[in-house]
Amino acid sequence: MNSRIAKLLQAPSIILLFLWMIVPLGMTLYFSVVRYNLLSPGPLEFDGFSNYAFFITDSAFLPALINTLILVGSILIITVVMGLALALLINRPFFGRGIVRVMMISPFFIMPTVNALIWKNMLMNPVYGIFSVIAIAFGAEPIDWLSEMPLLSIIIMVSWQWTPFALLIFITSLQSQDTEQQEAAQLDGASSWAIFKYLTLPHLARPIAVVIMIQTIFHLSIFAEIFVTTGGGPGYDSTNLAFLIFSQALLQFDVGVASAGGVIAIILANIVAFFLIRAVGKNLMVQS
Amino acid sequence: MSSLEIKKLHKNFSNYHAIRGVDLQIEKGEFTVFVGPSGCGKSTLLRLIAGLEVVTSGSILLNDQDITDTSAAERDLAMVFQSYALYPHMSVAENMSFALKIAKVDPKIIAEKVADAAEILQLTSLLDRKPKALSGGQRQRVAIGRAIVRQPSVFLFDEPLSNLDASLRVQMRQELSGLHKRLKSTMIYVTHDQVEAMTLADKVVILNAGNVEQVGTPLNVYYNPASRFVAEFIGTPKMSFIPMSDDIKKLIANEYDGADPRKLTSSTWLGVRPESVTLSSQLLTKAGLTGKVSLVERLGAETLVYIDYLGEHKITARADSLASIEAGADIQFSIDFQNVHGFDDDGLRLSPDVTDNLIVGNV
Ligand SMILES: Nc1ncnc2c1ncn2[C@@H]1O[C@H](COP(=O)(O)OP(=O)(O)O)[C@@H](O)[C@H]1O
Ligand SMILES: [Mg+2]
Repeated sequence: MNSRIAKLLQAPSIILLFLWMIVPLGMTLYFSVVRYNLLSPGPLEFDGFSNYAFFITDSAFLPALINTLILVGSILIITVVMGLALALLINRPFFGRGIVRVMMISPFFIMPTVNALIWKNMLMNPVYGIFSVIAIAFGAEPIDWLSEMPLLSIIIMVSWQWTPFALLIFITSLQSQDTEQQEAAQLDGASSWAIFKYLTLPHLARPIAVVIMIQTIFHLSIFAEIFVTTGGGPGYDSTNLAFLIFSQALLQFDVGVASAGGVIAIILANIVAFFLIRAVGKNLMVQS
Repeated sequence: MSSLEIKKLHKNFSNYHAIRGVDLQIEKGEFTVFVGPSGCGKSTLLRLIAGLEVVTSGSILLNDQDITDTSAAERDLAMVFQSYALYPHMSVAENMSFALKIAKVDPKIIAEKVADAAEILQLTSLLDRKPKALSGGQRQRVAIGRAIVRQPSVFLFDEPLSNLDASLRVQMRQELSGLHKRLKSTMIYVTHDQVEAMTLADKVVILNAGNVEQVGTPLNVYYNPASRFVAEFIGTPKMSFIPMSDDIKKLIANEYDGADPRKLTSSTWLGVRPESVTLSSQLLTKAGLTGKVSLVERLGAETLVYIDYLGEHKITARADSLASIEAGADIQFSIDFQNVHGFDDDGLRLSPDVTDNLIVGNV
């Protein structure tokens, strides 16, 4: 009786959430199998899998797929390693730790577009960017970051923004680590490195897994940074799947192909998540 | 087996002087217990020995070698923490072998040593479990096993039994005592429980606010407490204190025919243990004092009687299990002045030691 009332009361929100998810998904699936180009209006005709075929055989598809994986992989490694290092660094109390902590976390609160504009105009600009000023001061040739190494530039921007996220999660977890265990290990003759390896890292297994999962979801669809800085170029050098879908839909007005791309992106995300969960689970979770 | 010497040891936390000049000599193979009320600096002293706290001044010598500035990892001491501090991600076997693994001992030898320790502590069937899957008593055993496996020069225990329930505590106490007899290692044990101190120790060190109040064998500190603090702390039920009065002076004069070999009459306070108080139901003894029973606690084997003497000062006495005493009644009692101690205004004992030959194992 009670549980029925509970179910009834929960129903509206669950139904709403379900619709919230299923309607866009359904529409995407539907659009992905019809011919639907905004430039040639007319009835939406069923078109089989030709949208998929078109998207996959597009010469930009493979580079975009590879770029997506490179972006996700390298940003994950950089943010987790940097986040861990910084978290360990500011874990011990020192004068001004509160301020330092806030400063270190603040990049996370900057909007991605603003972040991208700062990097593009203030830091990476080949003429008046700080990097080029420094390079010139040392007598070196300034680098035009966005056209010479577009993908690396994006990786740097996104890593700068997301390292604080990893840091925030790790520092909270480090604060909850038992100090007596570390003291026991000290008495057992363990060096700081051994304590890190055998105690701290296993303790951080779950937070690391959480950081990796959440970041993967976000980085599979990096868009704002690319849109604001490189525009996916030069060529397809910094185009990822999200940006490719955008260019299909809004630059070429082909909703059908863009939807097919969207479905492919969903499938890719699931594959990546599947392997990540398994890998993370095997290496880290086993110990806890 | 190792000896340990502590010289003029001080420890200041930012604004608190936790250890105030401790001098101490611990012999090879001795079971030493630091005992004192909560906050007196027992853990701090133990952690200074372990190398987990930095010494403010003074020195610590292990086998006549100065280890004051040696890091905890290089001191070759093992510590059992109150919280056990087991490594949560490692199995029981991994917990016990961690130190040897760090020291790069041959895995075969590690396996043997772990098996031996597990045997002694009855952990053999639990070796693959994680700490989370163990009961409090089992965790305690693993923590001890982790120390045994290393064969350290000194074992340090910080209130290892205080998280266990009462019956398990008694059992583990006996096992620890057996363990010491078997290993013959030097052990330092911290507790706030004077029963543990009395039962385990070869040498008791009573701490009070960062100072050593007295050092001695359990029976010596029981029979000859150096101060009122020690007298009150050691022994259950607690020693009672009664102010010197003319009535009592008369009784003492009666008892010793006017002499005062125990210097009782010049004391301000008399310390009376329950076993020195005899209750009498009839108003006849000349050594009689009168009080009012304020509380009767029947423990089964015996009955504790709390007597208000001169209105406020409680005296504790033992009575038979089935003694017919009720709270609120007037009661007559006498005191055996041979075993009473006199203390001065500063709480120091004036009366001479109780006859030495009664006390076994003098330090
Ligand atoms: N890290 C510390 N910082 C400041 N004060 C401390 C610290 N550790 C202990 N103290 C203080 O030192 C005193 C002795 O503490 P401790 O040795 O833990 O007592 P206990 O005898 O109960 O084990 C206490 O008053 C405690 O507040
Ligand atoms: Mg303590």
